Amino acid sequence: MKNYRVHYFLAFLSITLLFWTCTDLTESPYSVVTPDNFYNTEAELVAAVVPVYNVLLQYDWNAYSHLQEVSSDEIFVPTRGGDWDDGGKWRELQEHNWRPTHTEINGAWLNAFRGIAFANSTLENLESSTSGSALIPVAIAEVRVLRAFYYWSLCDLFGDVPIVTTTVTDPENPPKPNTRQEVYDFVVKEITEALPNLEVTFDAGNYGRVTQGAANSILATVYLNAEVYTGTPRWNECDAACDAVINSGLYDLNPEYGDNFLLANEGPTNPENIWVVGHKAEGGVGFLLHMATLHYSQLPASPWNGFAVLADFYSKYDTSDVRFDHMLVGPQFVLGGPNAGDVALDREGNPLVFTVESPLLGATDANGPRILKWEPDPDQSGGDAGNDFALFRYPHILLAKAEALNEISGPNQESLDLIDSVRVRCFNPFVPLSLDDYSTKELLRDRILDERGFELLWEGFRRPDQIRTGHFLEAWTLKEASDGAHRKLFPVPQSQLDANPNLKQNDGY
Amino acid sequence: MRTKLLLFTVVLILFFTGSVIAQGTTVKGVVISGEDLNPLAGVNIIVKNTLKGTTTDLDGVYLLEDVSSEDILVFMYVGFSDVEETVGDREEVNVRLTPQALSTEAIVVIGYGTQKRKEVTSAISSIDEGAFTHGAITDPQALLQGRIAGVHMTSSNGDLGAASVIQIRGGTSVSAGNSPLYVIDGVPIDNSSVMPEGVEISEGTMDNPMDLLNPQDIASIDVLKDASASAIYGARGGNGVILITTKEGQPGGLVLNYNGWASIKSQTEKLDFLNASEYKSFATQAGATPDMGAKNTDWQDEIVRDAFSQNHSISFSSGTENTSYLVSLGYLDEQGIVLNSERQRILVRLNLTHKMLDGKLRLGLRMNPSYIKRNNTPFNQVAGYYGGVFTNVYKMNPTQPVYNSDGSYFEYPGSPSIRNPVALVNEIKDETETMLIFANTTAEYDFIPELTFKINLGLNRTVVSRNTYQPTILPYAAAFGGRADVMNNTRQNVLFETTLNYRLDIDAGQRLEAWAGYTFQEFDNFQSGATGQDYVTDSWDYNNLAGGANFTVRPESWRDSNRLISFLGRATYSLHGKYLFNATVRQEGSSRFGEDNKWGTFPSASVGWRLSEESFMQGMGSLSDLKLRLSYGITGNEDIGNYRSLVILGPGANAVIGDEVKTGVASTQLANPDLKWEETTQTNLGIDFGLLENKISGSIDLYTKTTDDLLIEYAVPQPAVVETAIDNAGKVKNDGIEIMLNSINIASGDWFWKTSLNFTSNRNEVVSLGTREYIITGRIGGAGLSDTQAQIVLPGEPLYTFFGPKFLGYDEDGAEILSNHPGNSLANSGPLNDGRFIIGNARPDWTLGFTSITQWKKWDFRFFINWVYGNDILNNTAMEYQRPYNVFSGINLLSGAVDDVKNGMDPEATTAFSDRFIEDGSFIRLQNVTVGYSFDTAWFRTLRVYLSADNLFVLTDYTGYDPEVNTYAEMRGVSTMGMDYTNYPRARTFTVGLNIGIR
Repeated sequence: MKNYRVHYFLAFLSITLLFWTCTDLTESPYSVVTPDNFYNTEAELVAAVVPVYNVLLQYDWNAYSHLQEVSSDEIFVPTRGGDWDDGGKWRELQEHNWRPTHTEINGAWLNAFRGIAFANSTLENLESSTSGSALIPVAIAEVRVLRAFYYWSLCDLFGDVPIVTTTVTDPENPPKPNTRQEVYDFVVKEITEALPNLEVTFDAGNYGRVTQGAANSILATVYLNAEVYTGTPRWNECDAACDAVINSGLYDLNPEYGDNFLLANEGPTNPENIWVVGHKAEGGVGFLLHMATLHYSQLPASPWNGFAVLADFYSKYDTSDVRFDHMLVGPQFVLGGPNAGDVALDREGNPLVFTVESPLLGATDANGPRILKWEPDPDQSGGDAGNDFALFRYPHILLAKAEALNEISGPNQESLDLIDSVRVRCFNPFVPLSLDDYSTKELLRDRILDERGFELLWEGFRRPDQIRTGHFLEAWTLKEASDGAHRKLFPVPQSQLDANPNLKQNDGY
Repeated sequence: MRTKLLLFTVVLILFFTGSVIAQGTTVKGVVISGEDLNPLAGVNIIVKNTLKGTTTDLDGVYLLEDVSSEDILVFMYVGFSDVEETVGDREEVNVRLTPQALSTEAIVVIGYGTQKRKEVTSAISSIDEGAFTHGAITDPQALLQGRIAGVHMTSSNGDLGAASVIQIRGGTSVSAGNSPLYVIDGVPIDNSSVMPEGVEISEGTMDNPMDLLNPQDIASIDVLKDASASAIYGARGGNGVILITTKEGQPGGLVLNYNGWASIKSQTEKLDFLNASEYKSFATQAGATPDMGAKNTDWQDEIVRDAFSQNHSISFSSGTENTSYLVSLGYLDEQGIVLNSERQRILVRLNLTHKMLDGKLRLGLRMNPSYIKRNNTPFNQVAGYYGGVFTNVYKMNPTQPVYNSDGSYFEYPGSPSIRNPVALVNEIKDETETMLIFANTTAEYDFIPELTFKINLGLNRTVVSRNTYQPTILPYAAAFGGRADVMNNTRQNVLFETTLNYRLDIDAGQRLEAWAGYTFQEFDNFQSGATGQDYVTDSWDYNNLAGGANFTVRPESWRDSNRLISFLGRATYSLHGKYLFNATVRQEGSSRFGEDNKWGTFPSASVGWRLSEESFMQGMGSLSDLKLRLSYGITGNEDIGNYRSLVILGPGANAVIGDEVKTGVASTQLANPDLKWEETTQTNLGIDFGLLENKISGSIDLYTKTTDDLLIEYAVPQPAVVETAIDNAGKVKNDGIEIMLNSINIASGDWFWKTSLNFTSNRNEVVSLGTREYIITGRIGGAGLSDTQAQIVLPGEPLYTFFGPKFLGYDEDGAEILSNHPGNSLANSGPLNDGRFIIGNARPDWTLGFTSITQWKKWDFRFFINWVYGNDILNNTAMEYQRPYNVFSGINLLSGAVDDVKNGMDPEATTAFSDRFIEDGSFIRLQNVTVGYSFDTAWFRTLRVYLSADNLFVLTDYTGYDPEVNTYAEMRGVSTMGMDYTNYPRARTFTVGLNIGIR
C-alpha cells in the first residue's frame, strides 16, 4: 500500500521533531543596555556623567530642601484640612519630633548616596578610559567635586557616614561609618585637589557643570560651618574661599533682586548665579517650587498649596524691602494661563486672601504667606516648570565673607559693607548699616543671620545657618524649644540601619 | 445497491419469521434526562449479557430490533446512573435517566492529558457547561466565581471587563505573581492586563485578556489545585492552574445553537453624600461659606444610567466519522452604568479535527480571532489627587448645577483641581481596540497503537491600541491646550511542544502509561506611545498627533521578552483499578532566572486507593464510591518579571546641562546571578466519596503548602546606585480545608432538584522575609494622604494584614486622637514601636458557595449564593470624604462626617488613616437567580426562554459601594488586597434570554 511511504515519512518527521530541542535561556534585553555594550564612545562617557548631575534635581525641592527648610524658622507646611497631613511628617519636621522612620530623612540619605554611587562608578569608568581625550581630567575633577558636594550634605545632615570611593562593596561586610571629622576632611581634600583641573567657565552648551567658582562656593560653605562639623572654626579659610570667588571677577549682583529669578535671565550671562541646577518644563527634570507653595487656583497646573512662610519670620522683614514683596499675603490673583490677572478664588469660591497667621493643624487653604521669587513659567507642563535653581548665588558668598570677617575680627565696617552690597538694591531710599548698631560680634552675627534669611529665603541654607549661629533649638512660631541638642543632627534612617548593621544611630535617637 | 436490496429482503424475511414464532420484536423509545427532561443523545443501550446494542440519536431516539420479552435493556450514559428495563410485551420503552451528582466516569482534563475522575489521584476540581453560572455572563472567569472550593475570586470593581483577582489556595507570594496559570486548549497564556497605561486622568481598569474567549465556547474548566496536579506545569504551577477546554464538533448531523440575551443594568448602591439642603445646613453649622448654588444635584445620579446590553452567540457544529468541526460567532454590545462606558466585542472560533490514515494520524486546529472595542471611563485610583470621574463626583458641591444657564458645563471658578465629572465622562475620549489571534494546531500520530507522538503549536498575538484625547472644552485641559495620547501594545506568545505517549495494558489488572515531552514557549511584549499637547482645535481628537504645538512629553517605547524551556514526563500505574500511582517531573528553565540557577526540577507523586472497589467494602449499602488520595510535590512561581537577575543600565537619570535635557544612562538594578523561582512544596490529603449510587457525592481536601525562596526586596547598604535589590529569601505558609458536596435531592415525577455546595477555609502565615523585619505596602489614595500606607507584611501574620494607628476619640479641640501621635501613651507600642497596630486582615476566614437547580416539568429554576466571611476592607474613599473639613474646601462630604462632628469632632480638624476606616467586608450575595421555561416543539431540539437577575441583593455591613472590591494599591510590587478607593460602582442586572437548539 502506498500509505507506507506516508507512514515512514511521518515517523521520520516525528522523530526529528522529538530531537529538535533548544535550551538557550539567555535573556535578551531590548530597551535597556548592560555594561558590556556601553562606554564605548565619548558621547556615552558624557552620558555617564549626567546621572551624577541628575541627583542635584533632588536638592532644590525634595528631601534635602525639606529637611533644611521645614525644620527651620523659615518655612512650614501646615495641615490644611486633610491636605498635607501626609502621616504627620511635615508637622514632625516643624516641631522637631521626627523619628528615624521619617521618609524625608531616608530620602535625603538615599539621594546623597545615590549621587555618590553614580560618581564612584563614573569615576571608575573615566579613570579606566583609554580614549586619551583632554576632556577626561576635567570630567574627573568635576565628578569628584559633585561627590564631595553630596558628602558635604551628608556631613551636614547626618554627621558620621561611611566614606566609600569604590563601586563594589562587600555585601558581607557593608561600609562602616567614618566620623564627621573624617567626612569633613574628605570633602575639603577632594575639592581642593580637584580645583586646579576644573574649568573656570563653560559655554552656554555646558552651563550647569561644575566650575572653579562652584567648587570654591562649596568650599566656602563647608568652611563656614566647619565649627559645627569638627569643633574647629575655619573662618580664614572661609574668607579665602569667598575671595577666590569674588576675585575671579566672574560674578556680580543683578541690578534688581527680582531680575535674578526671571526666566529671561537664565544662562551664563547672569552674573549672580554661581552654580545652578538646570530645569526644563518636562517630566522628571522640572522645577516644582511654584507647585509646592502656590494656591490650587493660582496656576493652570493647579499647584499643591503647601509650603508657606512662618509668621514670625515674615514679620521680621522691613516692609520697604523689595524682598518682602516676594512673599504673597492678602488678596491674590491668578498668576498664569488664560485667566492670569483674574482674582484667584479659594476652595469655597470666595476671593483668595492669604493670611500671615496660620495654625499648624487645621489650617485653611488660604493660611500662611507664600513665596513668589521665581517667575511662573508660561510653558509649565503638568507641574514641571523650566526655572533654573541656583544652588549658590553671589550674595551667599558676600554674606559668608561678611560672617567670616565678623568672626575673625568683628564687628567691623568691612562686614557691614559686604552686607550693604547685598542690601543696596533692595531699598529705596537705601540707608546703610551703622557700626553703632552692632557693638558686639554677637549682634552682628544675628544681623547676618537675618540678612541671609531675607536674601536666601527657601534656597536651602536656613537650618545650617540657624545651627551655626546657635538658634536652631529655640522656640519659634508653632514650635517649642527642641527636646535636646541631638536635633542638630538627623537620625540615621531606620531602613538604612536595617540594611547596614555596621551603621550606628546618632546619639539621642 | 443490489447488496442493499438483498439485505433488506433478508431482514424482512427474518422480521416476518420472527413475528410468526413470536421470538424477536422491535423496541424503540426515547431516553431523556431526569434533570431537564431533554432528550439525551449518545446513550448506550445494550441487551444485558449479549453483544447486542445501539445508541440514541440526537433526539434521544433509539431502535433495537430482534429483542425478546425477557431481554433486559441496560441504559448507560456518563454522568447518569445506569437503568435496567425488562422489555416485557412493550414495543416502546421510554427511559428517564437520573443524573449522578458527580460521575466517576466523567473525563477530567489534567495537564497534557485527560483522566477519568475515578483514576484521578490529585486535587482537581472541574465544572462543565451544565454547572456554569447563568445570567449575563460575558467573561470566562465569571463562570468560576464561588463555584470551586479553594478558588477565591474578587472582581476589582464594576467596570466593563474588569480583571478579577483569582487566588488558588491562598496567596503564596509577597512580590511576585499570585495569579494561577491559565491554559487554553493546551496553550499556556499570559493573562496579565494588556491595557497600555500612561494617561494620568484615566489609568482605567486593568483589563482581562480572558475576555477574548467566548464563555459559550467553553466545554469545561478544570482547576489543578495540589502539587501533584500542577507540578507538570513546573515553574508556573505554584499558584495552581486553570485549564479551559473549548467545545468540539461531534459526529452526526448539523447542530445549531443560538444563545442570546438582553439585559438591563442599574446601580445598586449609592454612597451617602450630603444633598443640597444638608450641605447648606452643615456649612452653616461649621461656619463655612462655600460658594452655594441654587440647585440640588445628586452628582452620583448624574453620571449613571440604566444600561442596556445584548449578546448573541451562535454555533454550528457537525462531523463525520473522520472530520468534525465547530464554528461559532459571538457578538456582545454592552453598556456600563456610567455614561459613555461601553464595549462591542466580536468573537469567532473554528475548532476542527480530522482523522487520517485509518485514524492513526489525527489533526486538530483551533482558531480564535477576536476583537473588542471599548470606551473607557476616565477614572484613576492610584492616589490621583485631582482624579477622574468618581473623585470629582464625590467632590462636587450638591448645590451647584451640572450645566450653566447657557448650556455650558458648570465648573468651579478658578479651581482646575475640581472638575465637572459629567463633562469628564462626556468629553474625554478614551478608547481601546484589542485584536487577538489565538491559534493552535495539534497533530497526533500512532507509531504503533501503544505509542503516540504529538506535536502542539500555538500562537497567541494580542494587539491593543489605546487612544485618548482630553479636549480644551475642559478647563483643566484648556490649560495645556488639549492632549492626545496614542499608545500601542503588542503581546505575543509562541508555543512549540512535542510529546510521546506509551500505554500498555500489562495484564487484565495492570495498566501502565508513560508520557514524556519537550516544550518551548516564548513571550514578547512591545509597547509604544506618543503624546501631543496644545491643539488649535478639538475636532482632530487623537487623529492628528502632529497638529499639536507641544511635544514635551517624550515618546516612549519598550520591549521585553522571556523564554521557557522544559523537559517533562509522567507515569501512571493502575493495579486492579484500586491502587493508583502517578508521578510527574518537569525540568524547567526560564530566561528570567539568574545565570547560576537557570534550571529547576519540579517533581510530584501521588497515590490513590479506591476503597469502594475492595471486597471488604462491598455491601456497605449506601456507599457507592470511596477513594483516598495522597499527594506531594514541588512547584515553582516564575512570575518574577523579566531581566531581574541582570545589571540593568537604563535611561532616566537625566539632567539639564546647557538648557538641554541630557540623557543619563545609569544602573537601575544590581546583578543577582542566583535569582530563581519561588518554590512551593505542597502535601494534599483528599477523600472522594459517593453515596446512594452517587446521588450524593463530594470530596474533602486538606492541604499544607510552604513557599520558600520568596522574592524579597531589601535595602542595599549605601552608597549604591539603587536603593534596593531583590533576593530569594522569604517564606509563606498556607494550609486549609476544602469541601465540595453535590447532591441530587429529588428526582421523581415532575420534580428534579440538585444542589452543590463548596466551602473553603485557608490559613496563611508569613514565616520569614529574609533580612527584612517587615514590609509596608498598601498605598492610600487621596488628598493629604500621601506617604500613608495601610498594610504590612510581617512574619507571624498573614498576608494582607492591615496596619495602622488606632482611633481613640477626639481631644478637647475636636482633633482626632490617634495611637501614633507623638506623646500618646501608645506611641511607642505596637509591633514596630511606633503606635501602629494590626487592625484587620483582608483575607476571608472562610467562603461558601451554594448553587441550587430545580426542574419542574418544563420549568427550571436556579440560584447561586456567594458567602464570604471575616474579611476586612479599608474604606479609603470614606477616609477622604468622611471629612467635615471638606465643606471649607467647597467640596462635598459623606454624611458620616456630620455624625463625627456630633460626636465631638471639630469641623476644621483633619481625618487621618486609622482603624475607624477599616470595615467588616463579610457579605452574602445572591449572585444569580434564573427562571427558565423549555417549550415542547417539534421544530427545535431545544427552545428555552429565561429570566435572570444578577446581584439581586447583598447582605453586608460594609458602607462602600460593594464589599467585593480590590483597588490596586501595590507599593514596590508588594501585593495588597481589600483596598477600596473611588471605584466604578457595581450594577444589578436583569436579563432575558433565549436558547435555541436546532438539529
